[in-house]
Amino acid sequence: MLSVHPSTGVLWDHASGALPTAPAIVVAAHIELCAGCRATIATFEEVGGALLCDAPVAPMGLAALGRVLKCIEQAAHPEAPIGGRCSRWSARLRASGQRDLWPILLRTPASARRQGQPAEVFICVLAGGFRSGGAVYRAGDFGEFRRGGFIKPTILRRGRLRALVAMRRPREGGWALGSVGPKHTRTYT
Amino acid sequence: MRGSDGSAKVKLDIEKDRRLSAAEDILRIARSEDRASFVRLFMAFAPRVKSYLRHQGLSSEAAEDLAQETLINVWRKAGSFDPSRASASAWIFTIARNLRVDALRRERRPSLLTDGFSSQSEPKTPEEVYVGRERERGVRQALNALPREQLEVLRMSFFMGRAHGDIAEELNLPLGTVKSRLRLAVSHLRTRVEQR
Repeated sequence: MLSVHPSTGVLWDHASGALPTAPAIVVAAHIELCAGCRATIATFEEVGGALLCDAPVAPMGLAALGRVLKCIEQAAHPEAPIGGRCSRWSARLRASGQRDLWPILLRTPASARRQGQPAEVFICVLAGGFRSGGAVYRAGDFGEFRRGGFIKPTILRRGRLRALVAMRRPREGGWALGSVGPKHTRTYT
Repeated sequence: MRGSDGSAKVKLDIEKDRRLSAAEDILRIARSEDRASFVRLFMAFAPRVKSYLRHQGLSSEAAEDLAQETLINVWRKAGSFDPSRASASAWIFTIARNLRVDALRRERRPSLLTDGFSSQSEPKTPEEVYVGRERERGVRQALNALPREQLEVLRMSFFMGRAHGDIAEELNLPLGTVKSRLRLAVSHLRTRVEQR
């Protein structure tokens, strides 16, 4: 049973597509592990569907339907369902077969560490756990820290923590994506 | 969305018919590649998806291209549509939303490998399947019960992608009022749907 979840505002932003990439990936990691948050997201996506039905129509160009029909003719058959959908980030992780190297990105910016305390931190614990601000975060839990709230986290069993982390830099405001593994911490942009 | 009881009921019935037929159309595409069903879906949803994307700040051309891509994806992915998990309109909304997010991502960071993801995964228990069926009805009823001013803020935030500050400016309201209306609306939705 997971005990720490994203706030309603974060789930709302995730469902509407308003979250930037890095925090969206961390939230998606938690959602895969949490039936309650999946249900909330599904509720919010139904809101999107209802608003879509009520939206005013923006007329399509005359040739649009013809172009689309031509395209689906070329596409042949609709894709057969692949059993058990999952989000693409974890599919990539599973496919990689690598335990510590997340094949998400990219290059390593030292700037993320030089800038001091991040303005916002989202963490999804994948294994192990840590303690921060009196709360304990274990596998599947989601930590959401703002304005210096993420201070000196204590890892519960050193070497066991694995987590996906998104942090917003205090100065430039952009987000960095990183992972914490048993042997190293990796930061991505 | 709101009106006298009679006209609201008629509108709800029409919407229900449209939603049910959209779900059946998607299932027919999955079963037998039914072109007529696809054309109906295109006529009903492509202009609304384009409208959504225009509200999200895309140009008319870009919105039209992405609306077409959305409907092409409806065709391709029809086999994975599960009416017990999401309504047809919610499913189409998530396709359009993900394409918009992917497009923004490509625009901003061409090298990023994490193109697109879905927040949905297979329901794991019969309870989740049941909840999925009830969810759509609950959301519709909850939206209809929202005060007009909350619905307006909710639509601008979720559907039009406006920041709280922009909504406050456009509606000439204090920022705190916008935030509290949105918080109340979302809380009402969660409560109503989770109570079911």
